[in-house]
Amino acid sequence: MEFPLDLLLNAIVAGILLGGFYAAVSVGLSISFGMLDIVNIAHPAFIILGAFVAYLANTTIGADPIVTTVVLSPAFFALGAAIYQVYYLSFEKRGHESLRSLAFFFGLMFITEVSLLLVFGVDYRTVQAAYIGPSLALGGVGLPLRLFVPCLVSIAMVVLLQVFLQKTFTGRCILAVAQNQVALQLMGADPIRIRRIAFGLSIATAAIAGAFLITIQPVEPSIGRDYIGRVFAVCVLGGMGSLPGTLLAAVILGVAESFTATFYGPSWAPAVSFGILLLTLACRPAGLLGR
Amino acid sequence: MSPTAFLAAAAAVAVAVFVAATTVGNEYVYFAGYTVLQYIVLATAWNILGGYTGYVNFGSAGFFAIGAYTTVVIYKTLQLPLLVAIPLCGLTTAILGLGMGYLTLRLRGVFFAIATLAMAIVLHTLIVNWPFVGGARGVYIIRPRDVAFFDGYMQFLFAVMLALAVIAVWIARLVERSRLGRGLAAIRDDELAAECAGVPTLKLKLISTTLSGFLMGVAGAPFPYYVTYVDPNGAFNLAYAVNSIAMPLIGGMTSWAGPLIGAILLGTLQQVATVTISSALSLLIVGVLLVLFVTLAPNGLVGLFAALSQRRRHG
Amino acid sequence: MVETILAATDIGKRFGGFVALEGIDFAVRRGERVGVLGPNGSGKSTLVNCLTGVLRNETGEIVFDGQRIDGLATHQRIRRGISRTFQIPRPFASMTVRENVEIALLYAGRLATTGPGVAGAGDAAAILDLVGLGAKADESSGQLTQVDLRKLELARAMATRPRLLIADEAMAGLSRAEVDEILALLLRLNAEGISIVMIEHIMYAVMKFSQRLCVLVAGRKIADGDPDAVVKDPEVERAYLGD
Repeated sequence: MEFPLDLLLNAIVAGILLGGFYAAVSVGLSISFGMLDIVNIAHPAFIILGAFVAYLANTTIGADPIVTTVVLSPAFFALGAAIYQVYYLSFEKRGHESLRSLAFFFGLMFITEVSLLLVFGVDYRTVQAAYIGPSLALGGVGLPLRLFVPCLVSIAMVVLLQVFLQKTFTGRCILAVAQNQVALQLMGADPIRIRRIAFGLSIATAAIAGAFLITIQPVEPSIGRDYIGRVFAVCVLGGMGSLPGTLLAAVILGVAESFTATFYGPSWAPAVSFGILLLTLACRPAGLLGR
Repeated sequence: MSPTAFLAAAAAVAVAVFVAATTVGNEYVYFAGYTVLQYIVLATAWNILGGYTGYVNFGSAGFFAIGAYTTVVIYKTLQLPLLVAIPLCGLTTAILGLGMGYLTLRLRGVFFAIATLAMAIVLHTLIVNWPFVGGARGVYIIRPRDVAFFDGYMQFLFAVMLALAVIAVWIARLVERSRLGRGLAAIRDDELAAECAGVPTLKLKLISTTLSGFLMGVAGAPFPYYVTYVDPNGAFNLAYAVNSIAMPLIGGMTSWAGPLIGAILLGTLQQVATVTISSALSLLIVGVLLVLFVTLAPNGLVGLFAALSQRRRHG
Repeated sequence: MVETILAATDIGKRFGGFVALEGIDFAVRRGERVGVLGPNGSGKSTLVNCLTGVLRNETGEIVFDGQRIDGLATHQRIRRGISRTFQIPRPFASMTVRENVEIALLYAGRLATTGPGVAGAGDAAAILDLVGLGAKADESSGQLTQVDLRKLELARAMATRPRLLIADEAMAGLSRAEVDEILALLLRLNAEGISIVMIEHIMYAVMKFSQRLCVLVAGRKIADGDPDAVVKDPEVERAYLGD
């Protein structure tokens, strides 16, 4: 019975590493959907955009994919802020228009995907970095660096965001936005500006997660669709806007997918997130750490 | 106009379109026309749930594909003729819509939208993993050699889709003007107020998802015979999901005319752009138009016309 | 015929750890006008929501016209003859004033064949005339003024042919003249045999309207009885006017 135990341990470790990556993928949505109540279904499209930016920098000037997106994150922040401005003027200001704002983000997702398709084609793209390839071995358990490095950076990013939200004035304003607008006005902050900053942040994290993605696996423009179920499953399971909940939910999804891939085959993995999402919505819509 | 008179008028228009197409006598007209007609059915189906009831379905491609794959299953097992298969395909996706609605419609509207998005991906996964219908590699369908009354199978498919489009638009108009349609409109405006006005909201929403699902499956049913080779990437193409949302939004969502106008305009535009430029670029145009209309002209073309004629009357 | 039209006993509702309602007994007799008073957050709206099925009560039972209704969905309770208005008006904004009323007539009004309704008012026009919106029947409901929106709420509630009407702060934010207008309307409806529960902040309106007054504080009923006696109750004075 040595072999199955090995397989089991490997599946657990791979799942946890994958979960760390999923946390980065979903944390932005936990901010936009969970805290701001903006249903940004285009979130995965921005991840893919980040992945292709990392790819361009890597193939042209040999830059490290993760460093690239971190350095360029202000640009993505600005992109997010600009999108929020359009969203605000078109939907929030005119009153509640959930149907059309959903269609708006769906359109953005589609435009991003088709544009990338027009520029890069349908081929899978990869990047080069020192940590892609080698693997640490702990006993019989493999620890591939291409998963380990994104996982570490991702956890650092989530922790940093949590510190930002709790320790800085702007961060506390964002949390106040999530609770109620009145409290925010008492703090003397402009709710629109706070929401713009928060949405910018969420897009910046998506771009950085894109660099992780292309480090972990080859990327093509339509791959973002596989992440829609995942990001929303993690966000809802994590309790809509709780970062520790997001991290925990991401690890649960990672382990569940890793098990499914190991014992049933990788082609079933996309169904796992949907199952988790539906189960959560049916049984515990408040999420794991919800009240 | 009474429903019967409308049906007669729509049928007359359909016959005129068919005669016009035969006088062109070019196989390509049937080919391109079929696609536009298919979008009329799909957009009209989407609008029953989206426009009338106010619930966004991102999974049109999933419903369409399940309709198409039901035809594949029937082709490989019972070998029933297409005209018998079509209602069975509709039945399959009607059940799918009902189940989907039952699971998610008790929750906030956005969760329904997200669930439909995820559902299309899961259905895709299921089909990829089902070797009987060809799995990821796809499956070939052989068209019957000839068909009675028609000059070739493509002409027959064109006529079938034309009839389906007439039926879909007729059903949409019927719903719109019925007690059901007014209840759906109340749900769209304010669900809690509707419930408190005595509207059985959950039941009406389930009827809406079921009917919408039925028509989407019907739209996909002849697809295998149209392409003769079905694979998951073709049947689950995101273009179906985008178009079925973009067409009603651009045309106008509150009446049957909106999706019809949107489908004819956008469908034709895409056919032209695909031939003259490329299919990817034509999809990009749809995406850009969708975003532009949603932000700048939220009531679509029908809304723009109404605003224009009102201004003329008052000014 | 049962003398009591609505009898709710031991109603309890929690939101997580927060107790919104506890052990509420609330009864309304046929044709009675009952006022419900209470500070913000005292559970008034939660009580309305539990009675109409928008929320489910966790403890207790609700009997309407001799039958248990606490398992029923909202639209089923509406069809049995409980109707309500909303604190913040919720018109069907894409429809005209007339169409708003027609929805309720189509889905609830025609089913209630017994019980007092608007005398001879089989259609939307009569109901709109009754509340004074007859001239605005074809206007878009999204563009009405506040007071007209309150009237539309009442018109839509009346179209369901209620035997019990719960008016949830139907006068908040209105001028004195407008309050009097709505008040007169409610008294007229009551005169036709409809029992009315008025949830209200405006003391003047409550005192003028109510035959009986209940006071809720922090999810509990602290007083129930003759309005003049209730407002002089020291416990009510303390809770309502502050220490």
